[in-house]
Amino acid sequence: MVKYTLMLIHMMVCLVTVTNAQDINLLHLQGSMPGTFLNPGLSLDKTFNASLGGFQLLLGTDGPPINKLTSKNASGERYIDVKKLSDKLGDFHNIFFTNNIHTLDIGVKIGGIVVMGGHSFRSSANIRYPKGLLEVASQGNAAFIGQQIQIGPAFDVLAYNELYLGIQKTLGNFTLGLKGKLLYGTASISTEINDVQFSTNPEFYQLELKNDYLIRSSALLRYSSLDSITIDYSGFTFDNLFYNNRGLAFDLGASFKLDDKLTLSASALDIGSISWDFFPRKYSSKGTFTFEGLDIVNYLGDTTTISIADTLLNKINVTSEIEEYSTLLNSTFTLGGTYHLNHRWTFNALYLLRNDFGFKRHSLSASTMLKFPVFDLGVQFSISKNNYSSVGLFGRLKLGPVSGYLSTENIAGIIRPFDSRSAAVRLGITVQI
Amino acid sequence: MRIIKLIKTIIPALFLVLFSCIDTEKETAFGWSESEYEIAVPLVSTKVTVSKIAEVSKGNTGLRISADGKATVLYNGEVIRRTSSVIFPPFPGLFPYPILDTLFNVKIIPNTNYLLKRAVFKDTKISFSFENAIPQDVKIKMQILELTKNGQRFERDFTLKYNNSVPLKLQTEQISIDGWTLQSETNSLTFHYEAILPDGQKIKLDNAQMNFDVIKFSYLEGYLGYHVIAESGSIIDIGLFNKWLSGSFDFEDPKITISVDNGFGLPVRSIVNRMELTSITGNLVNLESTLINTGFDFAYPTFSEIGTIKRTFFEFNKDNSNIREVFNEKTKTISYDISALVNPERDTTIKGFITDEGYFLANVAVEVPLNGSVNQLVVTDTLDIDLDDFKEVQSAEFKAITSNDFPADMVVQAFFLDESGKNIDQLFSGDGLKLAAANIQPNGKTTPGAEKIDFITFDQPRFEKIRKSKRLVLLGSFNTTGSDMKKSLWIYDTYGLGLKLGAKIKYRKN
Repeated sequence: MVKYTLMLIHMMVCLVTVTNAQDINLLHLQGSMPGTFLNPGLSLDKTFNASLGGFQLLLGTDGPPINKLTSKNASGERYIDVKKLSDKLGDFHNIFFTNNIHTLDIGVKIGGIVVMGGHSFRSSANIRYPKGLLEVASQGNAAFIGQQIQIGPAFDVLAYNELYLGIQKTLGNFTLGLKGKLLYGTASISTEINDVQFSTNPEFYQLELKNDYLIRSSALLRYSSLDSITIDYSGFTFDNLFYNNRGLAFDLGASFKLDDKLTLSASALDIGSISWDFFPRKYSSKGTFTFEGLDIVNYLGDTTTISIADTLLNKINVTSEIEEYSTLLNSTFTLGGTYHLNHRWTFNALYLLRNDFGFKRHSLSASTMLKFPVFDLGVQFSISKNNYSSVGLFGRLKLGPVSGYLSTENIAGIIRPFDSRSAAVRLGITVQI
Repeated sequence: MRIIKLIKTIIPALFLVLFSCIDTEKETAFGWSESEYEIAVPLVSTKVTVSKIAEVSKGNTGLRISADGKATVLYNGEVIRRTSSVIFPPFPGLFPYPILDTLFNVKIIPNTNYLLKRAVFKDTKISFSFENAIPQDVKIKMQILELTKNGQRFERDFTLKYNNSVPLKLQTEQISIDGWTLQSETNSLTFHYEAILPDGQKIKLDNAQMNFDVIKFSYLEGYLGYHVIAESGSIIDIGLFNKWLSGSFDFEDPKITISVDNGFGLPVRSIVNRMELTSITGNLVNLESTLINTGFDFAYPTFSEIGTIKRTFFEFNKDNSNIREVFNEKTKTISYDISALVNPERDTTIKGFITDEGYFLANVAVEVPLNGSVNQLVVTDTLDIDLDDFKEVQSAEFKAITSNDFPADMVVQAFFLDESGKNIDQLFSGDGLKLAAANIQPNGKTTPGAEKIDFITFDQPRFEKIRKSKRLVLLGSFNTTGSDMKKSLWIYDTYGLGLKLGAKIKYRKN
């Protein structure tokens, strides 16, 4: 148990913190290909538009930052500090991660329409941990004798290659955009049910787990026994391209120019699903499992070494089946507005709803950008659940038809990630002719 | 140019800020808290009943439960098994048997111990060798008069070929006589041969011999000799009282049983040369019984029961021996020296039989029906312990829920000894953990024992103290209800000891 708890905590620390408000920076990039990542209906400025090596990394949590959960021992190792666990800790919190790598995206104006196409590798993960798991891991179970505690975490991972073709058409003040996407999944973990109720009986401390747990995986998760679980994630890969784990999705967007200064926009992104047929496994554990200690009778005359831990794990029944399944993409819905005050100052606002593995996240952002002849500078502010002070920066360097951009969300998160709820970076190069 | 220089500086710096300012490995190393963890775990949950022990008992010691649930402890000694080769071992053919005339009788087994009437060969092969000096082919017809199979007498033809050299010699191939029956009153075979030259003239060969590799029989009938099958030095280790310290007990009816399965169709008598009981104090006491003086005969199958096994069972009990008196002197081991005499009267007119599948199997055992009384019996045992592995345990509190269905008061105590053997602490306070005897109903059985809760606390100073201990001396004392009056009580299969043990352990990683 301690091993898995530590593994969970390890993953928490690795993932740090985040929100999704960084996407407002894409409004600064409207007119170029990265703008269409947020809304395919944001019209492109030039006849030939390309984006090279677009990279986005988002890390975040809707719970406390790492340093508000952990302390360090004399060896410099972190541990969950029971003294820091606040009553404000919710029943569940999420730690989430998104990494998108846009290798190449091209948009070309042909006649009255723009034809778009490109490839990206997209990955995201979410860990949902219950408060009870942290409490038991931080101090042991003795303080919870007679209580029932929820300790079931949920793990979700989604990684896939995306190939798309799209069009954009401007009709008067309206611009509409549509992308059709062909998807090839590379890795998946999907927790469908994560109800694990743990209790310690006051009689003589019998341990009980009431499990209703169902997790699916394609290739990524390999289970042999409860003390032998491996996760083999290779990151960016072209595995399964064109022949396994296929899916379809679309992006739809529209923008409306109210006048020369004000543009409103809305989009629905990543509406679709992937069917997982490569090494699809369904692992489930359902029922009540009780450990009451060793029955000495079973060991009479037996010289086998007795291990309570092994016996406890043997009590928990986990079944493994081969079963294909499908997962929805993490869809995103946006509402945005851009106001060009003059040729130097631009103001943006963005409301974003993201459905991450079934958990809805809302964020509201505002930003301003100051244009210089060679580079642009922007500042943004965003709020989301439990995170009300995220300030980020945007910069773009323009060298003729080639531009490079770099943006961050929550500067504090970059400098002090263990004290922040979010940190993010986006960078890339655009070419427009 | 300035801008480009600026970019060259800023972008790497930003990446450094992003990816290099955090020592990921160091920051993600997880360890133990410096605070205490307190875990509560169940350690043992068991009800050790007599019937469960009977189920799992293996090896030479076991528990037998009768139909009405009464328990008997069994100690099985070595099982003695002998096959028919102990009576007629395979007889090797070391030398050739000369056939000195055309009709010649050869004694194949000496008359000293066996008088065979009928025997069926098994795995036996014979061969012949012939020699003659006349430079002509010789046709030979060989018969063995006592050897028949399916009503046919044994007969074989051979040719001694002349190849321009004399003397003519022939060594025949080996001939299996499996299944051929020998019927003789003299343990012998009679060979009759005709040797004929090409012109029809019968001659006597210069030299004729019969060879065999080994003589084995699948069936033997006749007087099969006087034999002594001796078994001595086998010891039954009772073990029940190895840990005795003080007190007494009285079992009503301990027994030594001997069972014999016999497939040999001839008289066998047992002679007990020695049956000795050794007490835990080293005293040797001889078992006394009229059966030891007279011996006893084993049952054996008759000629109409060939292939069946006959069982003989007898016992030394309180009625025919002094077993009760000597056993209750805390017997530790029983050693025996028993002989089985085959044809004990050496009467050669008694015809018997053996088959190759027949066997003789004897088993000596001790049976202790658990009916008796135990008076202030104290047993002890010492275990080596090492608590160094528990350095990080700060303190512990054990919760024990016990129950006792036996009609006996029990007290359990344990003492922690340091390296020099000095007592540094005891597990339970006072005399120890007391388990009161269950109440006896009019039918002699007890009512199920009530549960009793005890807490055993090891605070930090106490745990520090016992951490130095190297040995644990366990003491258990038992006293059955009414033992002072030697009231005998049966132990039933439903009786048991219940133990539910949990612990709250405070742990701090150093």
